[in-house]
Amino acid sequence: MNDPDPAGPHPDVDALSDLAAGVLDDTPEAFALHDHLAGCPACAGVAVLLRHTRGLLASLPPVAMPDDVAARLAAALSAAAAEEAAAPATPVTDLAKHGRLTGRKSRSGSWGGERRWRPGVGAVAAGVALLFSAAVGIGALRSGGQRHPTGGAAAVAARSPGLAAARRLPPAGHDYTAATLAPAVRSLLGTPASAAHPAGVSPQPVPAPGAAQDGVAQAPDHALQRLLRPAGLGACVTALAGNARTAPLAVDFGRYQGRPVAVIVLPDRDPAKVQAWVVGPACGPRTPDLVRYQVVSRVG
Amino acid sequence: MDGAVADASDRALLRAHADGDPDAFGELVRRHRDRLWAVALRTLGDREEAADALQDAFLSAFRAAVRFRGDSAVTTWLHRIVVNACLDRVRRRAARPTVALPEAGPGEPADPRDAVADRDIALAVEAALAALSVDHRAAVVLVDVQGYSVAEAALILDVAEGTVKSRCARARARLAPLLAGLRNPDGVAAVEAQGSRSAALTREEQA
Repeated sequence: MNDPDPAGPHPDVDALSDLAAGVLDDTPEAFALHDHLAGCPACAGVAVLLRHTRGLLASLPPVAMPDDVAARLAAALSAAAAEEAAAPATPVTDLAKHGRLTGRKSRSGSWGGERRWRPGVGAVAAGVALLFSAAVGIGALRSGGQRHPTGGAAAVAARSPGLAAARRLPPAGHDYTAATLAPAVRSLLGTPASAAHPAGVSPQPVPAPGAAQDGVAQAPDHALQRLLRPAGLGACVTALAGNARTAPLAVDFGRYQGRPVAVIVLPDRDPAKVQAWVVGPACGPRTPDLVRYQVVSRVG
Repeated sequence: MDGAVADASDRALLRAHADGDPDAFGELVRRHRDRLWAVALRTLGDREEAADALQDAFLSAFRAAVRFRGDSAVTTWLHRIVVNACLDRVRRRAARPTVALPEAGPGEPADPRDAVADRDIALAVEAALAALSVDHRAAVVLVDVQGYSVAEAALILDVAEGTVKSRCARARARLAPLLAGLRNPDGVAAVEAQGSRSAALTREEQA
């Protein structure tokens, strides 16, 4: 009774697992396996082990999307919305006047390139970002004290030479757009022009990096004063990076589609790339105030 | 809110997004993001990879919303896009292991660990999942970890239900020796309740 069927060898684990999963239902093999199991404690033990395995898999605790991932996804969606606006499209006249009210906006981009549409698309981006950042803000508030027990931002700045040393451009009212962000970021990083702009692509009119050390003093926009202070900037960088260790590679202040913004360049996991974070004046632990996020290759 | 009502409201959000509503897509993603994150994280076994895959997937869904034909639930459609993004990433990066294997290594039983905490059990289970092929892992993550029915998983993976069953079976067979020494926190009885778990979509939407 305790001996397995001497007529055949033990079935392998795959076969027993197939049986348990119903893969073999109504096949002759299934009947044979059931017969074998009935008389073979060893294989019955394997069947128990397979149930144990399912139980372990089912016991994995639920996971919630981390705040930094939510922020990053919100930024990516905002960027997608902005790109819809910037994509070239056939000129459409006077959409600003009646488009939103009377037209059917299509995600396939038929209204895409109309500059006067940016406020509408900006609203899309802001809406997406808001929905994420609400959660981010709550998360950051909840954990802020524990994460940076020493007072966070100021300490960050002190610990991160990069933060102080990050190049700042003279606030020449530099107006970033979706199209110029990548080359401008490369310029900020001091990538040689020959590498950044191969094949004779004309460089964006970006001032030379590091041209002025006094950029901090001449705020391009009063709204950005908070971020011009190391503590404010440090808190923003911490919020974006999700940790207090990451030092920015470069920081610039200017405008993005008319909005006062800081452009903060952080290292990417891929050493050949950097992360360009375009943030509004409120960037800090409560909200990243993201306007745009883009991963930029160091070499264009 | 039952599943049908939730899906109707998901569809309304998707339609609103396609019509230019600035908040609709964000709300849609917010509703489902934790489950989608769990699927991506456990299919890829790596936090950064999962974030990259979700970004690809959300951007794809954001742009493809107008092409949603409504022949499946919106959540199924979103899951399919996420799982495909995960599978694409793994296939592009051929055969590179995504997380460290448990100390015991593949094919050997793990040490008996009567005393390990539940958290360590979870880590060991997640590590063992890395020993699976990505197709097997995606199936077993959907069905056994996330609690979707075989039918739901088949729609998400775009394969026959028999294929889902078979992949899950082979995955469990591979995992069984790796996990043999681990205490099951919920007891084997957890499996017997599988039927009620399979309605995970509906249940979570009630929460």
